[in-house]
Amino acid sequence: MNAVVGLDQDAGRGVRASRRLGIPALPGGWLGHALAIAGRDARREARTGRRVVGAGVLALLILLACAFALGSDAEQLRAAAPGVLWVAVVFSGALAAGPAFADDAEHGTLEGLLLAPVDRSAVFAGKLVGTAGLMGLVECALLPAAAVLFDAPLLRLDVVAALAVSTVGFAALATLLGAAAVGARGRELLVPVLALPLATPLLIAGAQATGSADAGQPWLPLALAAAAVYVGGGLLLIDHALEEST
Amino acid sequence: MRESAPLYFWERIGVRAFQGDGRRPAPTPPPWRTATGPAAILSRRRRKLPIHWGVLVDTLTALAVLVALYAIFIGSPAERVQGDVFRIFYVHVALAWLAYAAFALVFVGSVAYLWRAWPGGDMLARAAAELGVLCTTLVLMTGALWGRAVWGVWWTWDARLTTTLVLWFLYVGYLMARSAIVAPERAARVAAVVGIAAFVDVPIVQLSVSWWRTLHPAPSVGRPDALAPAMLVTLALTVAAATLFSGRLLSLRLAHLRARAELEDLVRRAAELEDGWST
Repeated sequence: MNAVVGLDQDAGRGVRASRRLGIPALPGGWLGHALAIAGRDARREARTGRRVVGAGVLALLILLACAFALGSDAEQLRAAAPGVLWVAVVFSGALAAGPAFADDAEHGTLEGLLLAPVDRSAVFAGKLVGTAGLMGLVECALLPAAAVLFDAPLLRLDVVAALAVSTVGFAALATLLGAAAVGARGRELLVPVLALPLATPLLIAGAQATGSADAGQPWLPLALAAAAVYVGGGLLLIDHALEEST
Repeated sequence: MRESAPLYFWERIGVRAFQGDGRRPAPTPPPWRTATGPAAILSRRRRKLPIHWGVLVDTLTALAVLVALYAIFIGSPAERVQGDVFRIFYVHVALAWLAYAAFALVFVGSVAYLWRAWPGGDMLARAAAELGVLCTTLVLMTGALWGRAVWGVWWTWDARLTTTLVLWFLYVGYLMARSAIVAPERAARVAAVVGIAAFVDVPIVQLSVSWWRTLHPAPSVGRPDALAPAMLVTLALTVAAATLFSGRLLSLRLAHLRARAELEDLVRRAAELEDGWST
């Protein structure tokens, strides 16, 4: 009885707690746990393709809607292309990141993840790799599509670098908020509503680094710093976000 | 134990279990607890106050608001260039100060909740966030009115305006998260984390006018020749009245939240009792 109560209280609090309870830690270490979770999410996504298709179609539709809204002036479209790209990335990313934890909660596998003798930061890192990879896949289709549809020089190394950095940072924030929003009413709405204002520094720096390359302004290092803050914050706060989630 | 207290026979043989049967005299109270001590006098005087303190504070607040309105519209002079439009400034600055103060309270309450699991901290954060969102909304609206008259546009993507808009969205998201998450303890925990993270924007809003070149005027309080003395007095009166008014709003909302928590607790305990009877 005592052992069960102790398990209930300390479950999921990392490898140290499981050692105290006499449960052997899963082999593989922190990185191994994270990669195992990322690999599992990737396999599940490869079987259904639900998240990547949903996010990709939404992103392309945003391109289309913005092109309609801006009219057919080629010069205007070219100037607006980086901004439109960002709108598409952010909204499709928020949509893609939402189910990272919610799907597990629906299928009851989140309890398994929380009970496993694995650090929760490793769970978060795995989910982050999965979400960032998903967003990266969508961007692989989005970037050429935007470059063609808006006739803009977007296939450049600096654009890809800024997009990659911002994707990782935004995926970290959205994954953390997705974990916090497990079991909330209107989760699909809550994640973007919280993520967009919180990601303001990253969005400004990333969009500036993608758009007009302002000489003298270190936008890319700024975006990198912001992304580092979101990833670090996610690793630290995931324990709070997942507490009593089910 | 005093010397004069008689020992019962079981106490002499070492049995302590029968102590406290009411026959031992009560210990003498400390001097400040006696019938003529300061505590008694204070409590008696408080009870003799003819009206409830809330009514007193409400009356004071109403008076302060009336005085501030008089100072804004009649007492203070019109500005040399802007004319009467300048009178928006007093309300605008007072509301901005209140928004900062409310979000600082959200921060304090959230830290208290996360650190000590104090439910009052969560209630404070919630009530203050509602007040802060209201104030920020009014700041944005009064600022738009003033901007339309002085700059010629309702809105511009100036650093301070943009950071203030982001502030508004952050705390609207905070309130949405509170209402969306069903489990109350989880909602409080998530909201506390968001409330602490969102407070980062408050110093950015304040310092934005000195960090970037902005259209929004720099702070005028503290610079010697920025405001005429009558204007400074009007601003102080407005800030004081607005603070009193919002403080009262906040205390009413807190009382409401506390009463609701007590009610929920009673309902829960009644349900438990009923369960106990039926099984």
